Amino acid sequence: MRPFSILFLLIFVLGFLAGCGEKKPKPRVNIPRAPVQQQAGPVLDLDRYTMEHIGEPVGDKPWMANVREVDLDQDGRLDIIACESKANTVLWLHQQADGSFVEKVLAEDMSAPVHVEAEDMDFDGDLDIIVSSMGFVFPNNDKIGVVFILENDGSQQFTPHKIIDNTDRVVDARAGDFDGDGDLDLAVAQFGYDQGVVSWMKRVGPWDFEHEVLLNLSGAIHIAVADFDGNNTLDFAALVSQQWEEVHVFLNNGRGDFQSKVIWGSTNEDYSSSGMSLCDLNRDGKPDLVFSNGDGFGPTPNPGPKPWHGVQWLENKGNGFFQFHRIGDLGGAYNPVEADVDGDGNMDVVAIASFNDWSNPESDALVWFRNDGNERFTKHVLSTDPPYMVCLVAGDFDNSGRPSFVTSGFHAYPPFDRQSRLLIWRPTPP
Amino acid sequence: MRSRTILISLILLLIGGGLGVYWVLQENEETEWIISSVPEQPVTLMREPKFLRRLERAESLALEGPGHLEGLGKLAALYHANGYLEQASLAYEGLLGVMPDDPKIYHRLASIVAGYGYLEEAIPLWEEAVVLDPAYIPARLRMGDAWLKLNDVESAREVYKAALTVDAEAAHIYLGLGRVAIAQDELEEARKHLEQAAKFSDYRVGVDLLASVYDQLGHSELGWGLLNTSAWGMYSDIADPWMEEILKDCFDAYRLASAGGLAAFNGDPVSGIAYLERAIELDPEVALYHFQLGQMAFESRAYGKAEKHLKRSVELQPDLADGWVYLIALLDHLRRPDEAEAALLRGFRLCPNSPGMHMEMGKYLMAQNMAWKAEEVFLKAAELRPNEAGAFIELARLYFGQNEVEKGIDAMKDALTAEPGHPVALSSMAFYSIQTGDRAASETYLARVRAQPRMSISEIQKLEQLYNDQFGGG
Repeated sequence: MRPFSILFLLIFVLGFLAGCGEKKPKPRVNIPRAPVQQQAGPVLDLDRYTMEHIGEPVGDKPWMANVREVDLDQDGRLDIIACESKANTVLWLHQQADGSFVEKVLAEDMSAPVHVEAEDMDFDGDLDIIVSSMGFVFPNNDKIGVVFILENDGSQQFTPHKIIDNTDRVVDARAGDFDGDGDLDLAVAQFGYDQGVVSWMKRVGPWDFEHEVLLNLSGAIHIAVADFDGNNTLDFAALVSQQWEEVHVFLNNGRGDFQSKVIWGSTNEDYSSSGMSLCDLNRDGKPDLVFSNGDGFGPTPNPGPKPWHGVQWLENKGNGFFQFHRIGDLGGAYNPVEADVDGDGNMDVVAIASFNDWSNPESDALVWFRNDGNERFTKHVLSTDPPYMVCLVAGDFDNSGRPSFVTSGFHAYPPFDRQSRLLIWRPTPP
Repeated sequence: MRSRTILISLILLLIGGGLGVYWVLQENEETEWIISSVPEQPVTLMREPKFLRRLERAESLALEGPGHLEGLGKLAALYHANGYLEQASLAYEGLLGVMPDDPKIYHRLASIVAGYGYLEEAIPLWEEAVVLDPAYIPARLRMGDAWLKLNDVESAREVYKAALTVDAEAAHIYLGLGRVAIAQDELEEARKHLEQAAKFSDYRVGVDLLASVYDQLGHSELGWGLLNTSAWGMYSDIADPWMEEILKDCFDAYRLASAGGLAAFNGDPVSGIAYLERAIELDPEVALYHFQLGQMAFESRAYGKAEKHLKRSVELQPDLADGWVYLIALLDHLRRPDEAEAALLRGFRLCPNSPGMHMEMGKYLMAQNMAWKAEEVFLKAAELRPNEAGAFIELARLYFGQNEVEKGIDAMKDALTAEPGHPVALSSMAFYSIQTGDRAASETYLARVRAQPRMSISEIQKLEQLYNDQFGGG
């Protein structure tokens, strides 16, 4: 080969190496960018709702763990039932014709109640109340949980039936006819502490139930009952927090035989799952789940927000399969619910920020994630006050067709300067 | 000959030049990539001056050099450590473009992605991390956990089993295998794995599930025994040095304090104290950080440090009752009763509505033989914290000491209302029922005592003996 040929060859090779090689370095796998991108906004929307204290005065550091919207006396106006964990009481806030509420204690000595549900458990036409009680709210591994059913005599006088006690601490119990025998059974989340379970209780008598454990994991906090797999029988889902951070679904064959499977989970030990409810955000008729992570109880004396706290939904793809979607960031997020806030026909999501950074007066407290119709969400801040709301429900309290919200306050951590007990958030008149 | 020499020189020169051009072009390409990977600063940024200085330096290094790559690495770490995870993930992506063989970057990025809940996206990143550093167990564990949480138990089992070939004593891996076995209803298999998890972690990992598995297998006595010897909330997460080393770039006092709490909870008080010290350096006026550090130091027997920070906590926030309670306990422990008394009197005055301080004062008054005054203080403590048993039990002790048995029993009943499983209240009520010949109540309380793993076996046996003596049987 002639020297000049070698020269040209070298120039060619070098030129190829320098210019025609890989244009940009590439990582060895595809990097998922979308998951951690911030959502648009937030939009400050502080005038959309007006807040009002309802019921008894706030008092000192209330522990109003749970609130539900229900027309308890069936007079056509939505009322509120709630439970106060420190006072061990179950309350009824009866809505009057003028929209005000009158508070009444329905039951005492409820052993640290943390969840209430209204159902006609005995099919006598009135609404009874299922009470889930922990026995002791803060960390405790003793078997001190209780489920009560408060039997309504038809005039809102209640007789308590203790249907299970000396069991892992109970935080949520929901009714459903799981075995198809025509009476109402219960699906139960038993948080426990080191030991805990998800169970169901088969109705075997007027106020008698048999308890069957379906999942031996501690930390279950919420139950959602629906026909998730479309086989015309009631299934249920459970959100399991603490060290596990998983959502399990219990698919029912209609006879109370459940097939359990995990449908989502986080490997983040500090993920802090905090609330779950049913929704149908894409309006495909299949029940989805919306859930939050933002629990602040942890190994620090001052709980606060983490960057991964937020709200997400599990889209029901059918046959027991679900797809995870992030909705948006929210420090200290709790208790998301679906509601069509702006009346555009799309189901939005509203959530509270319980464990946010309360040293910052501009921290989000009540947030609306507006759905553009394609399940893309924009965050609207509805309020930056008050701190430590732990429960939120939506309902058409004024029969206007627009959702109002009711929140409850649980004040176990400072600051204690802006306490709330029960609040109603009504749409601000135009 | 001369022309041949010239030609060869020319060729060599061209080769050298070509290589130089190649190197420069590659460098430029890399630099361009790095510059394009520098994330935009978030809209709201922490105002801590040290953080801002470090961020500016790293950004300028990444954009202008020299040391573009080093600058991007620093940016990634700064953003990650201080909670700007979107920016951190963009920077990690940039780093992977030029350093595709660094397993730490894959692991850190996977942890961010999975931390938001995107497990399917995180798994390939962990797979790379494991290929690049097969010995790093936390990456394998997280990958196995991700499969498990995606309901792919076979993939999870495969990952965990492979991890055991690297470290046959990895407790968290055995926990993972235990969970796989539970998911497949293989309880004997689960038992074996969970026993290994407990054994290799000094009973900090897997114990909670093992107790349940024992119960399910019909070995309730083993479950009971396990709970009897284990403290509550013993579970600790795996140490993850690749993630922990990021914290050296953290300038967010709250984040450091949280990391400190988590480290101490996971059995590493040395790191916990170090993080708290840095949090205090950044934000020296926050009483809670001093309290948290004082508490950790006390528990680690670093008494000088504990005293300094507990005192500082109540200086900064005089109504921080927990600070006073710990300070009094520390001074008592150090046998400095005069100082403990002074702290008690001062703390009690400054925290007039603290149940904890009322409890301390009540115990102090009892020690001074001032029961009549202690009663008043314990009653106030019970009123302030009616949902805990402590004050009721102290009241019961006080009444028993004064032979006011009925009042003592009422107080014990109140204690059981507040905490239905409290071992002292339960055993007292069992004892009282047996002594008073109330067979039905004795049996009820004894059943509750037997079901309470916080009772010692000898205490239970004593009560059973009393029962037999009273009512016969054996």
